[in-house]
Amino acid sequence: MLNNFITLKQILEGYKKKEFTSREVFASFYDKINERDPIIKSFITKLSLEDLTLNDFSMPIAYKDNFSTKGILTTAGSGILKDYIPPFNATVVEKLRNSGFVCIGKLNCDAFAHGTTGENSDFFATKNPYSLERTPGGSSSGSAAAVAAGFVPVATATDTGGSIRLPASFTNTVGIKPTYGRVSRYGIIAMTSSTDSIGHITKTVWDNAFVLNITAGHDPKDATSSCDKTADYLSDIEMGMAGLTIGIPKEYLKGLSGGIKDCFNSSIKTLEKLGAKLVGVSLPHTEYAINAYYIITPSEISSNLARFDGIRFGTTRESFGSEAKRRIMLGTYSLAAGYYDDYYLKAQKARTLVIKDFKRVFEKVDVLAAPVSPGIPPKLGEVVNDPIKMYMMDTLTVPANLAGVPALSVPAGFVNKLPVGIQFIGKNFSEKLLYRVGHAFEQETKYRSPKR
Amino acid sequence: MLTKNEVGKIAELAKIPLGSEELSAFRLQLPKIITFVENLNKLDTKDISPTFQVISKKNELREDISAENLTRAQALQNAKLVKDGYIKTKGVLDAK
Repeated sequence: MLNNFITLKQILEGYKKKEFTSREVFASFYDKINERDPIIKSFITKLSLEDLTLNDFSMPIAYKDNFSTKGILTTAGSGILKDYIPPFNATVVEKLRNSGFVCIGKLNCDAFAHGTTGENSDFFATKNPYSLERTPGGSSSGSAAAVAAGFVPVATATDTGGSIRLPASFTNTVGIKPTYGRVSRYGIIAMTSSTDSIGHITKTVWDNAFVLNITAGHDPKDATSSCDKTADYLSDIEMGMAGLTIGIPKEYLKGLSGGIKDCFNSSIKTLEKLGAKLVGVSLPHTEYAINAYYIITPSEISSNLARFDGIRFGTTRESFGSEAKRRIMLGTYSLAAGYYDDYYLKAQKARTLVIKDFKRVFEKVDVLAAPVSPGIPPKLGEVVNDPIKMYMMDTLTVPANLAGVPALSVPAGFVNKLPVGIQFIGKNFSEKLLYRVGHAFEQETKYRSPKR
Repeated sequence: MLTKNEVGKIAELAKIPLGSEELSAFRLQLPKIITFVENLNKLDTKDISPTFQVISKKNELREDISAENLTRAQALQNAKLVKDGYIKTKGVLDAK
């Protein structure tokens, strides 16, 4: 039963029944990493198995490299932080550690999480385990690839404009973008402070809910973390879809490539078969979300990256990669005196309209179902030199970030043998419902292919 | 179209040292992205108030009680230049 596609749930059950030891579980993941990561290239830092302190119930985890890990190199995929060793843990890291997770390494990503393919990493590009000539999606490229390749059962990630859902959908894995403020941002290297959401990628919906049960909650160290009570995200997971109303937003179906559209249509049929009532809905400001996002994001980035002065940590500002420079330049421009009203303020007003769209549809439906990406994973090198092409990959994911609402990406099938995801979007703090819907869909479809 | 001087001015404000090749590349790229985001101008936002924070949280205050924090050694561990327990920098106002 011990293999590299084992889930957290199976590991926990195996420990209870004494089917295998934690040392055997870790060794099995390390064997796979040693065999295949030289090709996939998902890790920036790998800890050695001999250095880990394990107990009977330890579970392996790897962190996206923008999570601060005390005493372990944390680069955020950037050259400017190539030698940065944090003196503290992110709150999420601390919580997972206290719950029995043991860090085995740090995963590659676009530098400072700026990108949709992982190719903006200042170190190297991670490959998609399903097709080595393609990207695993970004910015959490290493997190998605590592889970898909069977290197680790769970990897943390961040979703500022789609950086969890897009790679999850490109690698046949499950990714949660929680409600803004549901999971502490303390110790996560900031990108866009008003949309950064802290989540994770797993193989199954159950595993994903299990991990959110640990990471969610108020943190006095993050003033934007929510004081609202958390739920038990596993408690309703078996309840099925009967009686739920699912909205299909027409704006999310524009400009899909042929295969994606067919795949989504067949997913819709599954939802109906499971007893959900489907309703066509409209969120008219969806097309403007991507424009607003690419004003708000560079603006907040230019401010957040101002702290990188090479004095207290890191190297000097020459070391920023070209995408970071591009975003800092754009943000500086859009915040400059005389332009603020036309760009930043205008974008924040557009954001209000995007939020109103969601509020209005959630009066009528329980959740929304939509494709995650308008196309299949691009080939390495296909979009990285064309910023607008790269930005457009985020079209269907950024609205949730601007509004703060949670969204769960679940495997929905394959197009040309490449994985495709479906996202379920809910109102603020409705993660429990998303897991219920996602689990029902997953159990009915089981798009799991061990061949990767 | 931005002039080379304008791009240079933005780089100077952002404290990003750019080579002449990068300067020329950004001069072509930035206007394309600006045109892309200017699609927003089609949107009527009169009487719409901006949203800066999405979960309507109020300021959170705490008692002013000291807590465990980084040690001096930890706070300095990533600095490139340290002297007598402080971070050493170049002069800001009157660099000699």
